[in-house]
Formats: sequence, structure tokens, C-alpha cells
Amino acid sequence: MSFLTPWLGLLGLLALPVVVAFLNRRRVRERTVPSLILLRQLRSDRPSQRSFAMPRHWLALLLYLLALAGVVFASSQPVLPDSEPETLILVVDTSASMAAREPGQEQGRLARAVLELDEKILDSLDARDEVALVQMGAESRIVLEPTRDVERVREQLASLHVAGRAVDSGRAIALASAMCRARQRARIVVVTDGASDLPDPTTLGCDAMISLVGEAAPNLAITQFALRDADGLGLIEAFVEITNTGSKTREVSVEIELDGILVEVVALEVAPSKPTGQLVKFQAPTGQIVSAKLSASDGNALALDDEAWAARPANAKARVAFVSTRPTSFAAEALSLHPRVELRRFKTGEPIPAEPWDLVVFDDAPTQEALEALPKQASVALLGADTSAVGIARAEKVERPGVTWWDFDAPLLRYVDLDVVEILEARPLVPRDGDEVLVKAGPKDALMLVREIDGRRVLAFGFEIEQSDFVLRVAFANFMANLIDWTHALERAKPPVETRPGAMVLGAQDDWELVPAAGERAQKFELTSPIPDVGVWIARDASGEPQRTFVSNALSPEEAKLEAREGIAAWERLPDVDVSEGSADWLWRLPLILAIALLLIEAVLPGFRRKREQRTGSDRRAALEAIANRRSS
Amino acid sequence: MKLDRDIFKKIAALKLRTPQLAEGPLQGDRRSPRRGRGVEFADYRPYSPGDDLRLVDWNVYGRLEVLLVRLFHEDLNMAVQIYVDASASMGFGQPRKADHAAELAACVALIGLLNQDTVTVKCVGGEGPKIEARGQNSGAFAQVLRLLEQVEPAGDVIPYKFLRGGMLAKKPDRSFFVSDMLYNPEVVEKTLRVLAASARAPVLLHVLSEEELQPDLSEAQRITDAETGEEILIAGGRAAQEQYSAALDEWLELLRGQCRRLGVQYVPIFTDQPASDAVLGLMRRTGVTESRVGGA
Repeated sequence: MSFLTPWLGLLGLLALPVVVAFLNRRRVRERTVPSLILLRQLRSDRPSQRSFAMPRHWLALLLYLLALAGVVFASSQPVLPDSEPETLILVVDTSASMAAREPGQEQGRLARAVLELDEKILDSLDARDEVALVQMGAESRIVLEPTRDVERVREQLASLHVAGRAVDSGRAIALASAMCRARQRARIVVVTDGASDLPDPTTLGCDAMISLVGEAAPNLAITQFALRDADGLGLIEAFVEITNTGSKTREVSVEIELDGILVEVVALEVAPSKPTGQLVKFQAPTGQIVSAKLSASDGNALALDDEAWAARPANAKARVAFVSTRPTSFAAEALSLHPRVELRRFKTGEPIPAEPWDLVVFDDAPTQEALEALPKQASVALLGADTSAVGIARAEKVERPGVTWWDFDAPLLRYVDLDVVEILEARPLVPRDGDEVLVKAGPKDALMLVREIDGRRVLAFGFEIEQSDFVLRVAFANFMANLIDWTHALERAKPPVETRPGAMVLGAQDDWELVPAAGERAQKFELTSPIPDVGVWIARDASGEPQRTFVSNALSPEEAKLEAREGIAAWERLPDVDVSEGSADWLWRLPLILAIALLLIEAVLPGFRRKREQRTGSDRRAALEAIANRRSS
Repeated sequence: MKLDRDIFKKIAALKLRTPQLAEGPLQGDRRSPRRGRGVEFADYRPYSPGDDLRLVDWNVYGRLEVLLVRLFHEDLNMAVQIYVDASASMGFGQPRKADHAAELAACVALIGLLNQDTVTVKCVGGEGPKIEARGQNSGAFAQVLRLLEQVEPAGDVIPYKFLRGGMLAKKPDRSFFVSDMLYNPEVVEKTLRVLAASARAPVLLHVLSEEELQPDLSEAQRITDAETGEEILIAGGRAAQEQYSAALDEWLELLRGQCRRLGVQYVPIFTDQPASDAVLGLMRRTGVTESRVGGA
């Protein structure tokens, strides 16, 4: 026999104060008697120290000590040597379908599964048994290493969050299988609604059972949601697909919102045979995030798949001011034709209103006052004009300079071919440290560079573009498009990245965190995890500054089907009875019961004493009667 | 105090035994030392002028020519006094000693009244509108019951003062004192002396409860006297019980010895036995009562 908590044997030291207290036991009882005539000579200044000398008290002390021994024995949790502890590895499905609520049920599948686990397994565990917890959902991970702390297991079970699709169930089973094989006596219990792809249990090399929760239930889900620009004027086409897993045709309505503002409501009849799609067109003047919410009166077991999200195409317009003395200009025409440019023309010397310009293009030499009046975020492009106003020095005039080098990787020169561009004359720019030289003529002469001046990026040319054939080339159109993309407007826009639940986040930093943009959930997700669920997620850096927005589109059609798959047929079902074997509970409960019985015996002991006392009283009475009789005779 | 009236049916066949010759105030059926009118011849005496000529024995005159008057034994009833202790100590026990004493006193009174004895019942101490009931026949029994039922045990009394105050110039034939006798030794002795002097055949009906015979002294206790309010702390345990047992024996022996010395008949009464059993059993065996037909 061994003890699980032998240190609790120190409780046996409590016997010492028990004995001492018993030897000094004093019970002073308040009592009123007819007279003190007979009791006065029993007067004592202190209660008897020898009350324990009565046999009854010795017996009571013995019973107390035996009861204490029983409690100490039980507390130490004795176990039989032939019973081995067991490790139960719980693999809990946390895919979105586990949030489904069947008709008539108040709780979702996961909540019911947790209750079932508590009743079937956790309550019946032996104190030496261990429990491990593995999550199987959008992300598969070991939540809890094997532990005897059942309360901790309960806490972790309660904190499990349902999200996404169980795309990685094989990994979860593999993690559990590895833990199982590493232990002498272990088994795997998979808790799922059967909507996950489970591997063949015979390949695990370990005892494995399955606990199925939920039943096939009718469900309506948005299984596809996509957006595209219908034209360049803000018209959007949205495609929404609804899947009905029930057996009846259902009427549903889909509310489409743009940045939380309702823009369209679509009524649909969804047949159970195949998914029903609908194309919706609507004007979207502003905003970036479009959502679709499905509404149905009944027969919709899962709420998580009733929403879908999409990022609107990046069509934010750039506000551009063009300053020139010329009535016509290739650059001005190119900008005016660009679909995402709001162009306003100003004559040189005319005051430019203080508006949030993204780009200000000077065809002529700008004045110092005009530059200082511009907003800080506005980029400036000097198309061959005099650059002295911005402090960019220029070299001596060069006749017909040939472009010998340009930066292929620069965003401004993407798809821009400057080979054999004819330039009549140029005054090369004099770069300094920090300048980004984009085009060179010869080894030193800079024909195009970008300098940051007072927090503003300034693009300067060493030649007048109108005095070259650059404006006649396809490269010029590409260059002007690049110029718009190069402005601050697009950088600020940071268009949302559209993704799907379970997809990994790309381009993120290690110290970023992912938080939901809105909704009930407030917990954060590490970026090492995949996108947990549908909705809008914001990646924030360590300082809490939003860096990128992810739009998780819609739940997969497979997750919307709330029915068990065929693969689970090979799994053994978890029985309804206690699955914990080899429990030695009785061994430590027995002394506890004995201890209680001993205390009860001690409590009824005074009854023996009273019988003895009554006999003594009868003796005295008989003696008195005999005396009275003798006298009369 | 409470009475169980059913017991009186059982004792209707008893009478109080006359200790010697009855000297009651009224005519009765008990032989008295007096000579007078009666049916049983007692003696002759010489005729004196004024004697009733019907009492002259003319046969003797015819033979001896001497006028002699016939004398007869005169039958009187018996004077009985019953004192019931109603001090606070009588309010203890299960059943209460006071209730048991009241039943016993009622039984004795009924026996006397049924036999035309002059019975006086007095309560020593206690609280109630009346302290005394008196009568010569069964019609007075209701008065006795009312008295006993109305008085409740209370207070601290000195019984010998009460008994002395109730003493009559002519001693009654029998005097009963129903009490637990839980008084100081000197009070006990004086009470017994007064009781012995108050009647020609005094009887002490000593009421003992189980609580006095074998109290629970297994634990230490702070004990309060119900009459005086005095408090003492006693040690519990076997030693205390043995000490109490010795004190009780000593006290009983002292009581019995004083009764024997003073001529007071001592009859122990136990509260766990019905009062009728005491009257029909121990009191009859000890000669306090006897059957109405024949002797005891």
C-alpha cells in the first residue's frame, strides 16, 4: 500500500492536543437544585482534574483517537499497489460547428460537451489519474499538459473558444497520440460533433474513443461572399451564396452593410438541394469593409456562419493639384484621365486652397510661399521646373543627355522604360546624402530624385518633361499611375487584406497582436495563430497602433453542415458509465466512514452510564423501604 | 399543584390506624379513654344524685341493694393534622415532589374524612390564596383539593416555626408532615421536635426524588440553590458521586435516627411511585393505615 499524499500523515500530530485537551477536559454545567444541603460539602474551587479517570472518558478518548487516525489515514489517500494511474487525453473539437444549438437546446454543442465531460470523466477520476487537454479547431494545440489538477482542467475547458473550421484535426490527434504513446496507461477521448476529418483510430497506436455531441440540424449559412468594382464610379457588385442544409425551402433575408451602415437588403428563397447565389449591385461612396448578415426566422442552428465579410476594392481617390501656366499639358491630361484622381488645376501664382491634397504637381517653378502653404502630407512633384525654391541645387546645362541608369525596383519607375529617351537639354540635379536618385545620365548627373524636405517627399526632374519624348511614351502613362500610387493617399489607406478563417497571417511582425475590430469577443490572438474566425481583425503593433486590417471572409461550406461524417464510424463510442478504471476510492473512504461511526458511538456512550446509575438509586430505595418496614414490625 | 383524582377510589377502603385511643372532638367510631355514652360496657360507679336513672343497674340493686351506675366506653373520632411542605425545593423532581406530596396529603385526608375524622390540611410555605382546609366528613374533601391545587411551591420557609404556630392546646391524634426535609440539620432537628410535640402519633412522610437519590455529578457543575440563591462550584466525576452518596446516606441516617429518638414515624415516599401505591403499600405495611374492615 502506498499513499498519494503521505505528508498529510502529519495530521496525526493533532492527537497530541486532543489527548491534552481530554486530560484537562472541564465541562462546567449550570444547574439549579432544590437545596445545597447535601451538595455543599462537595464544593470545589476548580473543576475536577480527574474527570477523565472514568472508564467512559478513557473509552471516549480512545474513540476520538481512532477517529482521528481514520481521518489521517483517509487524508493520506492510500492506494493499493496493483492499481495504476491513468492518463486521459481529451481532444476537444472547437470548430465553429460546435457552437451549433439544436432546436430545444439552450446551450451550444461545446457547452454541452463540457458538461458531459465533467459528469462522465472528471467526476469519476481517481486522485492519481491525469488529464491532458488538446484543442482541435482552426488551430490545434496542447492546451494543458497532463495534470492531476481537475479544477484546472475544468477552467481550461470552460475557456475554450469556438471558432473557424477544424482544418487541422489530424495534427490535434497526432499531438494526443504522441502524448498517449509516451505513457504506460493512457487513452484518448475525442469530443466532437463529428464534423471534423478524423483519422483512422487504428493508426494511433493507443486506446481512443469518441464522445459525440449534437445531432444533424437544419442550418442556413453564407458560404460565399465576394465583391468587385462594377465601374470606376463607385458601383460595386456583391455576390452572396446561401446554403440550406435542411429539407425545406427557406426564405431568408441578407443585409449588406458598408462599414456598419446598411446599404442593401436582399430577400432570397433558398432551396435545400443546392446553394443559392445572388448578385447585388449598390453604390458604395465611401468605406472599405462590406459585410453580409443572414436572417431567418427558424431552422438555423449555427449563428457563426450567418455573417460574411469582404474588403472593398482599393479605389480611394487621390486629391491632386496641378499648377501650371500652360493651358494644356501632357501631365495634366494624364492625371485627369486617371480614374482615381480628383484633379484641380491652378495657375502659377494663384493661391492653392488649404485642402488635404495628396499630391501637388508644379509644372513651373513654385514660389516659397506656395510651398509653405501646402499641407504637410502632400507630396510634391516638380516636372522639370526650377528646383531652387525647394533647395535642390542643379548643375550646369547639358545638351542632349542620355539616360544611362534608372532604378528598376523603385515603385515610381515600375513598368517605366527610359531607354533611348530623347531629352533636348537638362540641368542635372545635385544629390546629397539621403536623396533617392532614380535616374542618372552618366555616372554623376541625376535626372530624377526624391528628397524629403520638412517631412514631405519631393520628386524633382533635372529636365522639363515637355521638352523630351518621355511624355509620348507608354512609360509616361505608367509613370503617372505610379505617381498616384506613390502619394500618401494610398499609404494611409492601407487597404484591408481579405482572407478566410484558418488562414495564416502573412507579412506580420512577431510582436503584433490580432484583435477583433468589433463584436462581443475581446480576447486577443497572437499572430502566430491563424485567423480565428470570420469578421474584421486588426493587427496592432507592440504600441497598440493599428498596422493592418484583415477581413476574414466566410465560414467554409463543410463547417456549415452540422452532421457527423462517415469517418467517425470506426471510432469506439464513449460509454455512459464511469470510464475511470482501477479506482481505489473505497480504500480511503472506508476509514473515513469508520471515523464517523466511532464519533457516533462516543456520542451515545452516556446511555450506559445512566443504566448503572439507575441501579444504584433502586438499591438505596429498597434499603430505605426495608428500614421503614423493619421499624413498623 | 396537580392531583390525580383516580387514585382516591383505591383508598376508599382504608382508614387511618388509631395509635392508642382516639381523643377527637366529636363522636366517632374509635374507642376513646373517656367514659360516657356508648354501647360497650366499661365499669360501674356509685350513684350520685343527678345521675341518669336509666343508667342505674337495677339487677345489682335487687341483689345487693346498692345503687350503681353503669359506665360505657365513649366512641370519638380522631383529630388528624396534615402539613404539606410547599417550599421552593418541593418544586423539583420528575414528577415534582410538590405534586406528589399533594396527592399523598389528599389521600391521607380522604381516608380520614371517609372515617369521620377531623382533618386539617395546612400548607407550609408556598404561594396560594389559602393555606388551610378543615372538615369532618367527605364533604370537606373538595375544600382540601382546592387548597392543594391552588398552592404552588415557592420561597424559603422554616417549618418548625409554622408547626409551632399551629399547635393546639389539645394534641391531635395524628400529625403528618409531608416534606423533602431539605433543611439545615438544626432546622431538621427543631422541626422534628415540634412535630413530635404537636401530636400523639406524628408521622414524617419523607418525599425523595430520583434527583436527590442519584444526581448526575459526572461533570463539573455550577449549582444554584433554588431557595436561597446560593451558588457553589462542585467537581464532577466518580469521586464527587461517591462523596455525595456518602453524604446522602449520612443525612438519611441522621434523619431516621432523630425520628426514632423523638418518636416520629418515618415513612420514605419516592416520587417515581404513584401516591396510591405508597398509601396502599408502604404506609399500610408500616401501620399508618389499615383496612376499614378488620385490622392491618
